[in-house]
Amino acid sequence: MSQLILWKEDLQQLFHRLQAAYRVIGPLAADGVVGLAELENLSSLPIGHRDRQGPGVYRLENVGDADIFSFVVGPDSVKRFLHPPVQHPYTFRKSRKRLHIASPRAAPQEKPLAFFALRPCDVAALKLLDKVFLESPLKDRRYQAVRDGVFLLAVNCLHPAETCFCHAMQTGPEVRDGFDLSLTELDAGFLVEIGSEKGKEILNGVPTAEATARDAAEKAAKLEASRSRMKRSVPLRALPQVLYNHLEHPRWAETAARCLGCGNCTQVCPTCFCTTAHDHVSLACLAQKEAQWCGSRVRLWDSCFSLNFARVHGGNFRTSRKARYRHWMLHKLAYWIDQFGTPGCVGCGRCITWCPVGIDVTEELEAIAASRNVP
Amino acid sequence: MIHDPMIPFEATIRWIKKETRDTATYAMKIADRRIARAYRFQPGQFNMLSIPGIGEAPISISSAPEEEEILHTVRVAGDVTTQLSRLRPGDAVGMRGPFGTSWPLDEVEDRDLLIVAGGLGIAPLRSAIRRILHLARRRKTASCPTGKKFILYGAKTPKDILFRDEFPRYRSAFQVHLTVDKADPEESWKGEVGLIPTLMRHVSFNPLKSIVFLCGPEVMMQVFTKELTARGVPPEKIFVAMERNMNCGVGLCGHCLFGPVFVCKDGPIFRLSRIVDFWGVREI
Amino acid sequence: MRKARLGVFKFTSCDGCQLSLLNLEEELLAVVDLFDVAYFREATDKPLRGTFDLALVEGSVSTERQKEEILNIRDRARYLIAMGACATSGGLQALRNWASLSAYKARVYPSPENVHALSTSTPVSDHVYVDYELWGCPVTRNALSEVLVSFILEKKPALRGYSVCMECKRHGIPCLLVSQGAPCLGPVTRAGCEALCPALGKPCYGCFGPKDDANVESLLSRFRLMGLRSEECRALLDKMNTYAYRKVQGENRS
Repeated sequence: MSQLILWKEDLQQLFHRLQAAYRVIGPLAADGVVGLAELENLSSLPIGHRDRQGPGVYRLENVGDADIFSFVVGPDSVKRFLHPPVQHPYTFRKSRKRLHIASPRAAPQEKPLAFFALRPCDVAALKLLDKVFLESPLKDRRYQAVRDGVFLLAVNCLHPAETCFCHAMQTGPEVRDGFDLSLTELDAGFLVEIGSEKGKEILNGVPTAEATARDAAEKAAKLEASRSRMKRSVPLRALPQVLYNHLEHPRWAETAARCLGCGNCTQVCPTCFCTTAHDHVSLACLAQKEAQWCGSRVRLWDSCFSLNFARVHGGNFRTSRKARYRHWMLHKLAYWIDQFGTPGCVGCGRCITWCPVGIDVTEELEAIAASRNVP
Repeated sequence: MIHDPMIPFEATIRWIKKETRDTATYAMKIADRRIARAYRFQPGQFNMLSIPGIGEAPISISSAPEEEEILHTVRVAGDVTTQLSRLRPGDAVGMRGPFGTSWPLDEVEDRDLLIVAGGLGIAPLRSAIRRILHLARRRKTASCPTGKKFILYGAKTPKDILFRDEFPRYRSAFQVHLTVDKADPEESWKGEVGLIPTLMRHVSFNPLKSIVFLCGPEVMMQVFTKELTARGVPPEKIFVAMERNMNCGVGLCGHCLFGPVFVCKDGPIFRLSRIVDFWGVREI
Repeated sequence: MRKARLGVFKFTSCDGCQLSLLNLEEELLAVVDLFDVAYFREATDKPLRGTFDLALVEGSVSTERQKEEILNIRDRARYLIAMGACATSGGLQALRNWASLSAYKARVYPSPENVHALSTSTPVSDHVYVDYELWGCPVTRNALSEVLVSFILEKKPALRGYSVCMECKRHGIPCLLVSQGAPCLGPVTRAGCEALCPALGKPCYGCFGPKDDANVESLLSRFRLMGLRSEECRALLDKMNTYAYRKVQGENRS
């Protein structure tokens, strides 16, 4: 497909085109981090900001960078919008002989979502969430209702954070598929690639120029520089077997001594999807006379790091933190491969940055994989 | 599935039969006609039964698909099953389902079939047993297993044997062998005493040409599958029913992940070869 | 049907958790509808008589007489629930556990011989079996409501054992520890407050006590790397849940 150049001052026009048809969600700096929120206008982007990230450390600084997209990902991802942290699948009213169950009707046709400046790792994460929620024989209909009609405007990453390792996971820094439009920020403008009919259509009326071979070369050089800045590696080809071979590796216990079991890694992970649902009944509902009681089903983000996550009547399958850390890492880097043919990790580095004690999943994997020849 | 699998529909309890001191069978009828008509299950599948306000529990279906009512045989264990045990005919409960994999009856063909159950594990197998009886009665030879058929069933005490009144009927198609862990002094038990493997000496079958359906406590299944594979039964032809802490029942919540499989979605009935590597790994 | 008899008891505490119960507002009417409030000194003057289906106990055990009283209440109660930081962890007054009571008494009171206190302030669970613990300083309306509803419905209450971080993330609150280097106790603290302090830009100071399987030692190591001195770390823990945090810290070390 042909590549186009969009001048920087015309990004505004593309934004307005999107805004006319979609609720545009994009990066917004608030409380010292780049979050994701509805964008009212382009000037609310954290232009000129850099996010300095390291294991357990994140600082957002306004460095007055000339580039618009010189920051990468914050703690939030598309997960919050497609698979919200608190859901109420249904309400109920119960009498002895009758049960009334009501599921909230879809809100009156809101605009579909457009994700603005989504990073390649998050585009990959969205594809993984689709596999979990939509490619299962019994889909998540609430997820589907939000997912349908979503527009993805991806931005390739030229300023990866220290914790980024998308290159190692082969999901970035260049987005390969699954987007509607993608932008690469060059010195003078954006190199635009069209990924779908929807993407092509949104460009209607937005002034663009035909990209030249020099533009393509600049893009390639910038992406190459981005790749070379990512130092972490992942032994992809040894997965999942290297982990299965070392289920009793001493490293698990060493990591557990540092791990807080707080669940932050799972909550910021763009692909961790675990939830717990329970029934909520209020005192007022219980005291009312016309039914035995009423209430609602509440579905909350949960984490395999919660002690109660693997609890059953009369026991718990994973009482030690060691087992819970191992379970998480195996789910991401081994089980997911068996289930969906691809790791559940996209290399966004969030779990490294947002771990309060800075546990680095790539370092842990490396320590275990290093003993790959030891029986 | 015409209804949203995450949202329960109403079912009414038609009758309740007390099976043992802590276990009863509940016959249920789906209230909504449209959902009832579309509801189809296979032996071995389960429903999420709920008492909204209390919670939900995965319960296997113990009746055959041909039967008019949907039966669940439930032992009192947690909050939901305790409250279920206090309900009466005519009361309403919530139901979602059917979910999960089923016993591969079409894989039996002319093999020798061993149905092996420990304790409450007989409940999901009853569905398969009654289906086979049904097929045998109808002489549907194309789909009816034609090899030797055995039921090996172990319970704690004679009083804990479930569906005892049905075994004479089962004998029309199966060789039935029962055992108890402990004979009850109050009852004159003339049968076997001992764990299920002790029943194997009564069973003459061709291990290489057999298929096994197994459901019971995990430790019992681990021990028994070792014995079966030692005899030469291929792990590809041993099917086991797993239990884990399910929450959503459809593979979307992560709770019942056991190694690389979701017990609710990829199971609960697994080919042994799929899960055997993770059995016995502590806290997996 | 007979209403369940509810008793609300107070030991060494500030009464704040009992006030949380009274602050249930419109739901308080439901409590009176559903329960026979048979003993509640903060609200009624009924004398202590008979047995209770449910006893809510506020406060820590800090005198010789209270050691007897808590046994008496346990004997009278079918279910006993410890309510609040004092009852679950000994409270702020447990700071005395790491100091000298006689020195305190001499410094504060003109006639210290009239003060009959134990040298330690301890949680209810150190003395009797406790069916459920409601953590927090004070307990939340939500947790109180959940436990009362669960009692009526005869089910286990859905109480949170995971970290405050989980609530921060649900609410989309940026991590203060990672993004600002603030010494936040959230990662080792039980959820339940809906991340009240972080939502206001303040690090968690641990009102809800240690979460399930908390790793206090590892978090403090991190704080030391961030430049906190050991006594500053200790001061973070030494608040209303000092006893519980130090207990967990000891377990982490062993």
